[in-house]
This record gives sequence, C-alpha cells and structure tokens, in this order.
Amino acid sequence: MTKYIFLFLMTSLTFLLGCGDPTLKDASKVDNTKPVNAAIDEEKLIIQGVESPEDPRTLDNPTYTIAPTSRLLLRFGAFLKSSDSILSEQPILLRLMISDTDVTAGIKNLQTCPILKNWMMYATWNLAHPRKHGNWGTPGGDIDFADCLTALSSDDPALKNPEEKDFCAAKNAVCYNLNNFFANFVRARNMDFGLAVINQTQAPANIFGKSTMNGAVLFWRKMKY
Amino acid sequence: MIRMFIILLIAPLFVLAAPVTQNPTKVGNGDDGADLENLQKITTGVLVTSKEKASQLLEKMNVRSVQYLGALPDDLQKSDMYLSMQTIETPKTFDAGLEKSDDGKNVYARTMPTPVAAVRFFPSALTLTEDQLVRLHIHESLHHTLPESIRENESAVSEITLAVCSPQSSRDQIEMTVKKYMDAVKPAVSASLPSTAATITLQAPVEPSYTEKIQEPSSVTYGYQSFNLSAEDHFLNPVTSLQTLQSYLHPWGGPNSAFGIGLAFSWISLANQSYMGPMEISARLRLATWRKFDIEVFGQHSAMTMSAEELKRLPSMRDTSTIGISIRREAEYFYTENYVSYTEGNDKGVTVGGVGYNQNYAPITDTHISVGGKLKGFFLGGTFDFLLTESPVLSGTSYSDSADRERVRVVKAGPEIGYNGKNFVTTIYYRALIDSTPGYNLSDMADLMGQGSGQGYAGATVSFKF
Repeated sequence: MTKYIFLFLMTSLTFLLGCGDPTLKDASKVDNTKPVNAAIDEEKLIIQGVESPEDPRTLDNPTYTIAPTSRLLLRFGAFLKSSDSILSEQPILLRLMISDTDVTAGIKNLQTCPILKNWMMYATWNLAHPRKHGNWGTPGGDIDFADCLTALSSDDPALKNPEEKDFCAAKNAVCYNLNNFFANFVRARNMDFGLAVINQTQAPANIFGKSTMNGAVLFWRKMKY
Repeated sequence: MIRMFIILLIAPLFVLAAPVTQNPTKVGNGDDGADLENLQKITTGVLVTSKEKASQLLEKMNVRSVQYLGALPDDLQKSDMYLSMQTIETPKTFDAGLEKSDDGKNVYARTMPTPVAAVRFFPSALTLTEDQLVRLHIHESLHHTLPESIRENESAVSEITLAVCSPQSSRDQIEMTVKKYMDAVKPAVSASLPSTAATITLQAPVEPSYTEKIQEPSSVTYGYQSFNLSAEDHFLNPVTSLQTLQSYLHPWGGPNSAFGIGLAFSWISLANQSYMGPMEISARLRLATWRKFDIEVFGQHSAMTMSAEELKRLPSMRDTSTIGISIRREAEYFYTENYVSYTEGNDKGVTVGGVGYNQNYAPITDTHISVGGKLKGFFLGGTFDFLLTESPVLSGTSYSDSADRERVRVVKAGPEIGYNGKNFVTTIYYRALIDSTPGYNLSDMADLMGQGSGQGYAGATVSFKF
C-alpha cells in the first residue's frame, strides 16, 4: 500500500513541476521590452549675430554654450525610422551631459523645446536653411515654447525602472522625457524637426557635443522578439 | 501585247531626253561644254608641282591674314585638277584674263566661281613656264574664294593675282589691292540706298562671303564678371566675381566649316578669399552657312576644381554639361543670333557637420536671342535669355524639401557694346534678372560659368582672334 501511495505522490509532484513557476506571478508584469539607445545625428548651434552657416563655433565642437543668444538644435535620424517600434507608453528619454562644474544650475536652466520648421546644418540664427522660404519665422528658430520640457528629477516616475534610472544617473547628466513630443510630432504628424536646447536665464550652461563620448543620447524601449 | 505596252511607255522618255543629248551644255562664262569630254584627273606632273609652289607662295605671303583671302590657301589645296584632252578656242565673249594664251586663241584653264570647284586645264597650259602655272593656280582659286561681288571680275582677279605673285609684292600690297576692288563695289551700293528690293539685292554681294566668316574662328579671350548678389545669394553662391581665360582653337575644318575645341580656366572671388573656379572644356562645330546664316552646334562641360571643403561654401555650384545649336547672321550693319541650349540635370552631394545632403538639379533649357547694329567696327546690341527649369530638391538624413518640385522660369536680359577690330574684339555687357518665378534667381541655376549668379552681372571681355 505504501508503495502505491509513494508512486501516486511522485506522479503528482512531476505534474505540478511540469506546470511551471509554482509562485504563479502576474503575467502582465513580465518585462518583454528591450532598451534601445540612439546617438544624436544632427547638432547645430545657432548664435545671434553669426550669419556664416559654417562658423567654427557652430559645428563639430566638443562643447556648446547655451545662453539666451545661442541655442543648440538637435535631431535624431533614428526617431522617425524607428517610430513604429518605439513603445510610446514607456519613457522616451533624452540625456544631455553638462560640461560645467556646477551641474545644478545647468539642470535648472536648460530646457528642450520642439522645433516647428525644417532645418539643416546650414541653419543660422536667422535661417533654417538657405533654400526658398528658408528664413525662420522668428529669429532664433521657430520654437514651440509652450511645450518646452524641463529636466527630470531623480525621483520622477519615468525613472522607476533600473535601466532608465541608470541612464539618467550618469555623472553630469540631465534627462528629459520626450513622450509628449514623440506622440504629438513624430507619431501623430510623422514629422521630426528635432528639439532646441535653450537657456532663458542669464547664466550660460555648457553641454558636450557629439564629437565627444558625452553627446546627446536617446533612450526608448521596443518589444523583445 | 505587253511588249507593245512597254514600247509605248519607254518611247516618250527618249523623246524627252533628246534635247539633252543633242544640245551643248552651257557652263560658266561662254563655256560650250566641249571641254567636259575626255577629262583626266591630274595627280602628277608639272601642274601638281606648280600647285605646291603656289601653295608655298601663299603661305609665304601670309594671305590667310588678308581680309577676303583667308580661305585662299585651303581652297588651292583642296580643289581637284583635271586635264582636258582637247584644246579649245576662246569664245568671242570670253573675257578670260590670265586663262587664255597670249595670242588669245587658246584657253589654259577654266573653273566655276564656287569654293573648291574643280579646275580644268587644257593642253595649251602645259606650254607655260612653272612661274606662269603658279600664277594660273592662284588665279583660278581666287575665282573660288573672293567675295561674290568681284570673284568673276577678270581684271580684279588678275590684278590681285599679280599682287600676290609679284616678286616685289608684300602682304600689305595684296591687302590694298583687294581693298581697292572691295571699296569700289561698296560706294556703288551705298549710292543707291533707297529702300527698294533692288537695293537689298545689291547689298548682298558686299557682305563677306561665308568663307570669310570662318577665316578667324580661333580666339584667346579674357573675361571678367561681377555679380549682383542679394543677402540670400551671399550664402547660396557667394561668388562676387569671376575671371576666365579661354583658348578656343579651330585646327580642323575646311573653307566652309570649322571645328574647334576650347579650354577655359576660371578664378572666383568670394568676400574674403579667392581660388580656382570651374574649368570648362567645350567644342564648337560650324556646320554650314545656309542663306547667309551660320549654323553651329556646340557643347561644353564645366567641372568643379574645388575641394569638398571649399565647395561647402558654394552650395549652388556643380558640374554642368550643355549642348546647343546656334543660328547666326552677320550682315554689314547688323548681327543677330538665336540659340537653344540644354543643360542636363544632375546630383551634387555635400557634407556639412558630418551630415550628408544631396542636391538634385533639374535640366535647364536656355532660349537665347541677341541682336544688334554695327558701324565701323563698333557694335551695340542686346541679349535676352529665357531659362526654364524645375526647382532643385535637397535631401539629407533627416531633411528633405517638403515642397513639391515646381516649374521655374528665370529671364535675364541686357545690353552689350563693343568694338570688333582687325584681330581683336572687346565687349562690355550687363545682364539683369528681369523676371523669375518668385523666390528664384540665377543662383538657382547652379551654372556659374554659363548663367551667372544672383540678380545679374556686369562683365567685359577682350578677345584676340586668329
């Protein structure tokens, strides 16, 4: 009899183990996403009073000074191309690296704002591009100031996952959540004229350019396949 | 029955052909055509050696540089010679000049008054000395190449022949002799200036014959252009001035055609620097002159010589290839030219700040008219160019022109004034943008050497022709 009871118990245990994790977790909380990083493609500083589109201060510099009279235009080629695979309900982050010793002021003063007109690397304070109708509507760039983003704080809900938290916790990093920009411009209008980094205070801030290892980087998530 | 039908069909042909075979053919002045029988092409002998000496004499006297005689050496070399097997007597109405024997009985040679016409020699010519034959060759070629108004005037042709062949002669004397006869013709025409059809008919012989128009097709030209740029042009094409040195040589061709190849180098100036601009290679072929209009085809390729770094500052510069056809009329008191050219479309890449862009240019069609008046070497005229193309499209990694490609017109026009000297031409001109599709100007053509830049340009050229 004992022999039969033992055989029954062993068979039952085998079935139970074959059914999987005995802890029975919530399937919706399983992370099936994969983080993606994308470096900046286009980066152009426009400076009030500088008319030459190839002024050495505006291109390929290790650092750029952002002040009321100088703005940095950024665009990520990968954004539009990857639009379909980006998970828009997950945080979409932009990280800039401040080259100043006093990072706090930079974090406080820098904003990123959607650009409303197509531009190219020949852009200047007055011109978005040199072709027909190339002037900015407003000198300094056609910028959507109403939708400007401020830096995320370290306890922002967007940074609850370890990967996002690590991405923005890098030294001298300042992060922005681009979910609204992505939803309103990239996905809704299939349009990406990029973002302008502006500083409307009198305290200039310096950020690293893409020619260094600390240039602007995007973070988003896509589904694992 | 069928045979009868064929005979009836063929019989009228014999009837119609009969007058042709029975009557003598009239050729030239007083020619009864008898000498056209038994012709033999001359390839050796004293007539050939004397022809070579005549050719050497023409080169020695530099008659190519004498007005109205430029085509004479080529004509002499290219005209074929035939020997007639029978001696013919001089017709009573035949004013043959040097072409008949001293006793006036026999004709030495005959030809037609058209360029490179064959020359028929008669056995009596073989009795002449070599010097006499040299004169005879030159005399016959003068009948081919002199202006129509005097080429059949025996005394004029004889005197010019003597001016060329006389041991004491010089190039200037030859020129004076030709000028004497040409001047004698011109006043006669000027005196009858009332505007009648007859006057127009009379004026025609005074105009240079087509062989003269291609006497000096080669040239070395220096040109300077200063561009009128707007603020936007200062970026798209910031070239403020362009200097060009062009050498156009026409080593090929004959009395009524010329084919030449030209090379042009340019030097461009920007606001704060200067360097080599585009280099151009071109070819021009004068096909023919029909009803006094010169028909020419031409092609040119302009290539950038600048580095990628220098080209960044010149977004509207590219390599261009153009072909066209020109119709030109040079009369005594006016000139006019129409041409149509086609510049092919192409792509040009440029990298700025590590970002690559591609500019796609559409083909350009240029319809050109120029017209002007001439007096004593001076000329004053104007030109009009209608350029038709499509807007260039720029695309990059993330950037592309959002607007659709649209049809673009650019119209430029302006005056020109200059002096056409014996061996040089100097011109001053201005071209202004007089109309265009809004937002476009000459810079959008991206053809600096061909169409200029900005809102227009002023320029000057000095050309030495030979």
